[in-house]
Amino acid sequence: MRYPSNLLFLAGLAVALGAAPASAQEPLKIGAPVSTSGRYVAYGAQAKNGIETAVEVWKKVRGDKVAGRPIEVLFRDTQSNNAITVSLMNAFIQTDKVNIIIGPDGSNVAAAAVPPWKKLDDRPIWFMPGGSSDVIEKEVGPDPYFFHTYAWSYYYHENNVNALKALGTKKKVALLYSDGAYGRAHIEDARKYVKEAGFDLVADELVREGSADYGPTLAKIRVRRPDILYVLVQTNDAIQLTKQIHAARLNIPYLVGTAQTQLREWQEATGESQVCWTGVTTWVPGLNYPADKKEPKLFPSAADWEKMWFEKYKTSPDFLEVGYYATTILALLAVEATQSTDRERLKEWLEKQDYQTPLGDSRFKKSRVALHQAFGTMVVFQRQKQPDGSITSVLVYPEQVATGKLKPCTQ
Amino acid sequence: MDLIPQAFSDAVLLAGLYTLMAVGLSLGFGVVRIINFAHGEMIMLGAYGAFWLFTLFGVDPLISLPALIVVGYVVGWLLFKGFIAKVLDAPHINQILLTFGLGLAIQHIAIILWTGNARSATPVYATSSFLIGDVLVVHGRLVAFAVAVVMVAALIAWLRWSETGLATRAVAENRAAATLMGVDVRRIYALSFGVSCALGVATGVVVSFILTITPFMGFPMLVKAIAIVILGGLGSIPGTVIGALVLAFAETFASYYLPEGSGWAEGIAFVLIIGILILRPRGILGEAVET
Repeated sequence: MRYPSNLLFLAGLAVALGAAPASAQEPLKIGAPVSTSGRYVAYGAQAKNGIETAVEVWKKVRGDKVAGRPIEVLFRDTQSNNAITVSLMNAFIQTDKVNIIIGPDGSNVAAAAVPPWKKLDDRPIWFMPGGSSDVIEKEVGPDPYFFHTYAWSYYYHENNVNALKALGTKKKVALLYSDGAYGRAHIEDARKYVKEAGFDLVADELVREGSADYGPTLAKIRVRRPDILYVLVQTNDAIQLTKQIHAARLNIPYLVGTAQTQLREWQEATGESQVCWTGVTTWVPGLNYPADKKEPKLFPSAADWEKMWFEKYKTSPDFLEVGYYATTILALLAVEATQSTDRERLKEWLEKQDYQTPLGDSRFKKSRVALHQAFGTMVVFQRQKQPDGSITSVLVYPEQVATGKLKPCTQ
Repeated sequence: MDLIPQAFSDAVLLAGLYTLMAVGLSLGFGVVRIINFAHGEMIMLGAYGAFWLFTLFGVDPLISLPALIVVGYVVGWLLFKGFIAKVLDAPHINQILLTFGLGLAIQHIAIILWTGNARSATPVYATSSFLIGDVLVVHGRLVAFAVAVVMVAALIAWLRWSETGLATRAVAENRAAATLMGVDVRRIYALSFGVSCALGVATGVVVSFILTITPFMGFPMLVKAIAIVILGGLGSIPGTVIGALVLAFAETFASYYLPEGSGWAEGIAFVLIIGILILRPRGILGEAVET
């Protein structure tokens, strides 16, 4: 059988194009909604640092391209505003045609980003190394293209309560939560784990977000004489609340926080009042995770990575910085390994990969609702005063990584 | 344990803070007849000033207070000369938009200069306290209350016994008559606006060790200050004190005695304000304003 020569040429061209890496000259576009202004600015700055450092390290180790394509990160400011976040997500997917989305950071804006992403059939792979609210998990549902790379809110309470169990179960607990999205998102799970652990819940107090005076609430808690005060408020409120708790002489042996106690701004703004508070986090300086055997330059040991970060920024990394770093590297590895931006191929690769990152094991597992959850391993630490007068985070749970014991407060 | 004495003490101390927060706004409106929507940003600037002096140079906020008051006065005077003076006879909506815009601009400059990170000054007295019987008094709150009392007393003394203070009251009561009596009305306006901003800055210095400092801290305080000023009667200093007492007592007692009261406190306080304003639209000590 004979074929016209031009038809053969066209067929050959089509095969050649098909075999080449997808859109070889087009950049890999990563949409990065980050809150670089507004109330989540501290988170946004961390997110941006994490992504930028990951791309820099990638270029140093693997060259300027991934799967033959230059890397383009489109940073857009959510302004910590839900409506703006919705517009950004629409623009990323429909106008910019990004291949991958990483972010946004705070739980509120992260929840706002779900509907515009979810409504589109051709939505790209979405990594979320920020938002912890399980409202996000319920909204996203068991979506195959959603990859959560941070702990869900209920992980905080499961770990916190596990750490507290070592004190014995006859302890009296007072819960204090804000009426904002953070407090509301956390309170049900905090109650659940506290009750399941057999603790006696003696107070369950709501405070107004942004309140100038927590005195009345603290006075009511004082008369219940709890052994543990368990606080669920965000950073701004946590700062003045921590100072007021210190001044109020509550004489409560254990002061339990969640995410805020790991933030530099909380630590710097509360001074001596921070001593004794516990916090729960996915990352704290001093973790002893080893380097990955396959990719030791991209995923060095936690100690080496921390050292690299300190040399670059002259400060220790925060939890979102390491989370965004590990997530971005994982995304780049997925594109490189599959030589593709096809979401099905990326998804399949991500489901199978297994690296040891500075933030722990990168394998994705199922959580309560979501299909893909990684980096949810949490540690509990306590801010303890050292003999030289400095205040440092001492790991108290789990036992395998603990560097000290949980100590009661001596106010 | 009887919580009434503790609630009473908390309410009085909170009222001091609220008075300081609102009295500058009240003065500004009473004399210049413009509600300064950038007043919250004056508070914010005062808080940052005290915070940075404390953090960088170890200057206690109470030591930096006089200097920052002077800086606040100068900033207020310059704002008046540069912006407010140009809209004195403009429609109210223009005045509102101008001061609101100034507030937003100051807020954004603060974000650029200092980022949105939350901060707070940490002098020892901010988190120390003492007991009088069963009543716990936090030193920081007491200091804030004392500063408020001194500042309001100084303001009243200035208005009552100094020549410029008398001129200021004259302008507030009747601008035309004051002009005919030879008072330089524009100078008094600039002076009053400067003093108003200085009081805002003083509030910021005091809250720098009590509350969390961010570029966004001003607006919620402005809303509360406006509510107090309206409740007490626009432009009335004694009315402002009463308005602050009403708001502080309503919030504190709601927090103590209602289930989940802290969450409801502000809502109940504002319902109370609405109720009082329905019964007495000009506020508790306010007088009818000629429009």
